[in-house]
Amino acid sequence: MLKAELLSYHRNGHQIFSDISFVIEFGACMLVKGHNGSGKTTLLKLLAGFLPIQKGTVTIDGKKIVNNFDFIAQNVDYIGHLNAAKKQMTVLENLKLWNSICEPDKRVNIESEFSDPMNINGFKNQPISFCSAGQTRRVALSRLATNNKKLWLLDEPTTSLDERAIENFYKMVETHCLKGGSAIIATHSEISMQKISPKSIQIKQTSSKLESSHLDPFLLGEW
Amino acid sequence: MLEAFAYFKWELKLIFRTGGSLVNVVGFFTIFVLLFPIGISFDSDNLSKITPIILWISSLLSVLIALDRFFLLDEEDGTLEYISLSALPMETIILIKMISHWLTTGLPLTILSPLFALTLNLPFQSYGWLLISLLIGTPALSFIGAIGASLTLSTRRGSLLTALIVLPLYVPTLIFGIKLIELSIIGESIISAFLLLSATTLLSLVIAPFISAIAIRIHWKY
Amino acid sequence: MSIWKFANPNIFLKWSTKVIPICAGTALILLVVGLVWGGLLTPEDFRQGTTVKILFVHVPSAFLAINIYFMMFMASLIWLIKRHHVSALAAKAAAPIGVSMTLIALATGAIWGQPMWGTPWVWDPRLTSFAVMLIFYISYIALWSTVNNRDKAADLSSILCLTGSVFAVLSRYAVNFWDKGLHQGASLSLDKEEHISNEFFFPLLVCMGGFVCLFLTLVLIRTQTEIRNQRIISLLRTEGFNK
Repeated sequence: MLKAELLSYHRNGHQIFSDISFVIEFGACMLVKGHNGSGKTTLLKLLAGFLPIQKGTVTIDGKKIVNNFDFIAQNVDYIGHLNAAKKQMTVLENLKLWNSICEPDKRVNIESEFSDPMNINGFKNQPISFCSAGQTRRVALSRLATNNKKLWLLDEPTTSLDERAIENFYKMVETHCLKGGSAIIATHSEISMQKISPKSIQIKQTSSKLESSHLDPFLLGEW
Repeated sequence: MLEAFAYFKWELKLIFRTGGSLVNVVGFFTIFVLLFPIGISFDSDNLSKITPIILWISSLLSVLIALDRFFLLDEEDGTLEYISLSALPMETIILIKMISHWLTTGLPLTILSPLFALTLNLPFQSYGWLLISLLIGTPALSFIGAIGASLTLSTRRGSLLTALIVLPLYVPTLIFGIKLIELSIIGESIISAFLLLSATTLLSLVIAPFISAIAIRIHWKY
Repeated sequence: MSIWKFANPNIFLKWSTKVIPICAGTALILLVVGLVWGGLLTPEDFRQGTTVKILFVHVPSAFLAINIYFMMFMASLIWLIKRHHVSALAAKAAAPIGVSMTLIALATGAIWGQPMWGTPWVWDPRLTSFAVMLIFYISYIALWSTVNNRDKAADLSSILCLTGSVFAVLSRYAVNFWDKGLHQGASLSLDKEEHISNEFFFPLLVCMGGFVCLFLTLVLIRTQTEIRNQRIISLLRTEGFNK
């Protein structure tokens, strides 16, 4: 279970979001919605440990994740806007690397066990530089299936995917949730899944002016 | 351990497949070594005195040129963020990157250096010490370079800044490395220079992964 | 009531405005007294003649060039541990003063070296250390000025300062190992036997006091400027002018 309580984040003197709380059980899926610039990416990066938690707490199974990088790495898989695929290498080589630098007990044998949820088998021996944007995205998403981590943090995963790939992707998320994992997906599009119903939270833009004066030491006090 | 080894293999493969990176380093080294005698004079007596300096400064500059892509490419395509969520700690990742950087810059230069020393009239008894000096000295160039590269990660096209930051940090390595060869040329005991050079390399090996990891996390933090 | 209260930008501005005139006045008095005493009232050295008197500028500026780096080291450490913004800004403010002090030390050394050593510059350990230190200062300033975000720049340059000081100490020993140079030994030391004679020593002390007060004045003024600068940036940001 991942529990976030009263998360707030400010950057450059601006309140990005404030007081976000949610609980997500393993086996469930959550959608993060909001306008451009409302802080969806920031929230995911916060959960993945790339940004410091300024206010509030995040716990996974009751354990705090603040500065606990090893613990985050064991449980969390994160796919951001960038695909992290190396252009010079083939699709299969990329997958193999991602798989081999995982925890030993979470590995999947790429040759035999890999289920190919994103249907990349057709171009697996191609270098990434020959792949289209959609194909590269599919490779990046396939990585989720090779690592077996509990919590997936996905930042607009369906960018540049075609309809069939989007369908495949949601099937993959569904299977993951049914196996006891969970996913937090930042997205704009509506999602239809058959077996589970994802809950969603809306990030609202906060009035940044009021709070920012408390945050910046150079705005404090009488001048 | 297995993960680290897999990543190490990947990193080397990547450097070799990127094409031209090894050729660039060796090419720059050759140009630098060639430029010095042209600039100074063709007098061979003069030349042999400054051979250690020429070889060391050339390797230093060649390593410096290869530094700007140390973390930048991985940061730009998101690999750095992603592998920080793998089973490998950030510090190990940086250590592996440092070692593979050395294997593809410092090591080839070390192996080639006797060849260039031949053209620069290095006295015969010093060839062994030349190899040893570069072999223990050049890793420090890659290690310290990692610090510079991680500090300038936020500035994007910061290769000039990287050079500016890294050069003063290179001074001890450069001095001990050159001194080691010079002492062997005049036939004195080299043990002090040898020990000090090793100490500098070991010190940078110990601190560089941690400082770089902190700097990269700071880069993400804001 | 703790000492850290004074590190609040606002409170810092208030007390530093009161302290600056005192520092500036002391610096003026000490420098005038020290330089007149040292420059006009001391006898000429039997070997070096009048040129010895450049010592009253050279030694204090060299002393400050080293110690400003130490001050930046402490300020960076305080920033990294206690996260006091003024501390980071003080380190930033001190760096250009460090550059000027290093340049003054190098220039006066060169002016003195021309008649004495016959050359303005030799690759002597002390001179080389100072040249290296100059690059340290410049790279520190360069890093500060290239990173946009204030806190990020403060973090990164603090780390550079800490790393740099490790290697600065190492460089110091490296250049000593490299060559025994022309530069004479320490002009000042606690060991009575070594240092220069009393007629030079007391005016030199006054001059050093003057330079330290001058540095304090300058660093306080520069830190104030930095704080106001940051305040302007913060205000612009909240007003949304930078959009």
